[in-house]
Amino acid sequence: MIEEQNLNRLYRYALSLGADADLAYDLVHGAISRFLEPPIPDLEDPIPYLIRSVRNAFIDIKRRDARYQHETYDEEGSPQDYDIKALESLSIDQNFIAQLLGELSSQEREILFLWAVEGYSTSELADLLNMPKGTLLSKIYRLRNRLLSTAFVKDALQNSGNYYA
Amino acid sequence: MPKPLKLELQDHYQSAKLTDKQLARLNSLQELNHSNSKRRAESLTESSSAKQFSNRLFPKWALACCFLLAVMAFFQYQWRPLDDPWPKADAIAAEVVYNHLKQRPLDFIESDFHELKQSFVQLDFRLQKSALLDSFIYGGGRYCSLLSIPAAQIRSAKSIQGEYETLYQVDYRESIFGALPKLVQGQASIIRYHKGVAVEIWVDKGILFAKTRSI
Repeated sequence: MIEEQNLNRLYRYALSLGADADLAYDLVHGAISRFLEPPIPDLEDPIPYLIRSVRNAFIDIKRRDARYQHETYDEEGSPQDYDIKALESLSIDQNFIAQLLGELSSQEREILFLWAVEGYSTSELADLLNMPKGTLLSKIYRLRNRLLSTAFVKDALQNSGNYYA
Repeated sequence: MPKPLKLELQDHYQSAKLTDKQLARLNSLQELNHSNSKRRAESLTESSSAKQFSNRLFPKWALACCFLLAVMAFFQYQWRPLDDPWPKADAIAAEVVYNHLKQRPLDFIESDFHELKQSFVQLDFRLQKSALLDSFIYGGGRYCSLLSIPAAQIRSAKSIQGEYETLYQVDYRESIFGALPKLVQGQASIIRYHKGVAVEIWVDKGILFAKTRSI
């Protein structure tokens, strides 16, 4: 049995992808249904499997709606790369968190969720997002700049830190 | 006061939860599947072991009854929400109660409605009074969200019993909040309970109101 706490984790992950509350529930329901179809995978921790299942279903739906697009990044064009830890020094006023998330793309929200709530490392993120680590690092670099450009987010170590990964 | 982005994201997402009904349906789905798997395993056992022994332990009619009961339970959970005219009311109540119990610090301390209204400059709607708020004594407010839509969270002054009431006002969007009773159409407000707290919900002047009630 997948317990309540883990069901809620999946639900929050689905919300982070940009699903509304109804779609998020449907994604969790679908992932659980598929997981329980025999033969049931014998996994010590089924959550990473279920997270991937929710993600794939969401992308399928959005591709069908032609709304979800994989952004391509020119790795060589990035002046430098940041490790996911470079996001640790950022701060925000809580009143603006919903507004900030509303301005980000599905994939940017997903990266922030997996980093902040699920505690994924850069390697784990690259694995789940199915992209080379270099591409992910470029993406994090751009995400960080984008967050700082929103006026909601501040960098506590703006002038003293060096995040070069 | 800015706080680490990581903590704010954690707080933001932790407030999102499956409703009790959704959890019940997911659990029912798992239980149903579990009983089906068991049934399949048992039928395999039955075919490979002595028939008499198997029939004595798991008579076919008992298995059929169990399966029928499980299917009936499943469909009962599946179809019940279709009868619910206010499908998002429980989710709204759950989020209001969660934040009501947290009693986070207020952004504005104002006992005058008009002063409070002018304080919420960053909302894309205007706070409203409603006929059902006659006895509400304003104490202050803070920015918040309801089902991820920016909202005003307003707290009453302390009652004689030492209790606060929490009132949410948010721009009502039917696509997000589902159908809810509208005073202008003569519908009465509804009450939903969560964690032992009653929440009264209604729509008036295009605004969704959700208020905890002292019982």
